[in-house]
Amino acid sequence: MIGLTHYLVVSGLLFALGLTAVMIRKNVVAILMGVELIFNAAALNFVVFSRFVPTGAAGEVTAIFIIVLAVAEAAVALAIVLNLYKQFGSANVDEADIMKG
Amino acid sequence: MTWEALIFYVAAAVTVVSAVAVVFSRKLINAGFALLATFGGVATLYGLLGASFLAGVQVLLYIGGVLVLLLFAIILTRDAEHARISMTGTQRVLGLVVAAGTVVVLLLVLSGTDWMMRTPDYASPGPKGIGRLFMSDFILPFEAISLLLLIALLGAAYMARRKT
Repeated sequence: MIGLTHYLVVSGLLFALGLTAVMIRKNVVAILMGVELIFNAAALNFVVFSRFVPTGAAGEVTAIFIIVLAVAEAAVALAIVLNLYKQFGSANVDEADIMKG
Repeated sequence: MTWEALIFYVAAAVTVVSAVAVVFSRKLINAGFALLATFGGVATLYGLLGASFLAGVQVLLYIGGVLVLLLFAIILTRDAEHARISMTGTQRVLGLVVAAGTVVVLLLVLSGTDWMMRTPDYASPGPKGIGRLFMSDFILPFEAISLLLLIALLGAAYMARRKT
């Protein structure tokens, strides 16, 4: 029988992989992919707890909020990445090291 | 092994393996397409959990929205020099150590906690129940997030078209 812990192991691994991408990647888009992995792990956790632990249905509603936030973040991040690329000629976070570009 | 267990293990394996590909693939465009499999695997897990509405939202918004935006970002910022991703040695090792430590701590907490379990015949509220919750218990967060979406869309449009 697949229980709570099975799902939590999957979401824990997903979170750690997203964290790894944020820490070791240099390209902005690759870092954003890591952030999306972390969002997915968090939303999965909320749904799992909503299913297996007596909390009402609040977990599913919160997961929808997380997905909406992820979409808003992706839209703003795309605009920032395009401006960064226009300014510095690369999408590498190490090269964007001056303020007031 | 029951069908549920079989589908779970396949979906979990697809999710984790493709997430590894997202993190470690050398070419950015491959990472983008591996992300497709990760989102699909998570949508399958939502379906297994009985949250079919969330599975649909995941496919529509993540695969149809976020992934397309990320692929646009990859294509628009690609040049010959940076199409492949460079990773420095020491930072990479440190990052992997921190990530492994996170996994160990999470698994320790997971195995050491006595979870309150719900009766197994619980059914997901479905789209109707979720809509009712949005309009009753969660009306304030609902309005706040609608305002945030408006601000995010206007801000993204403004930043993307700004003349420098």
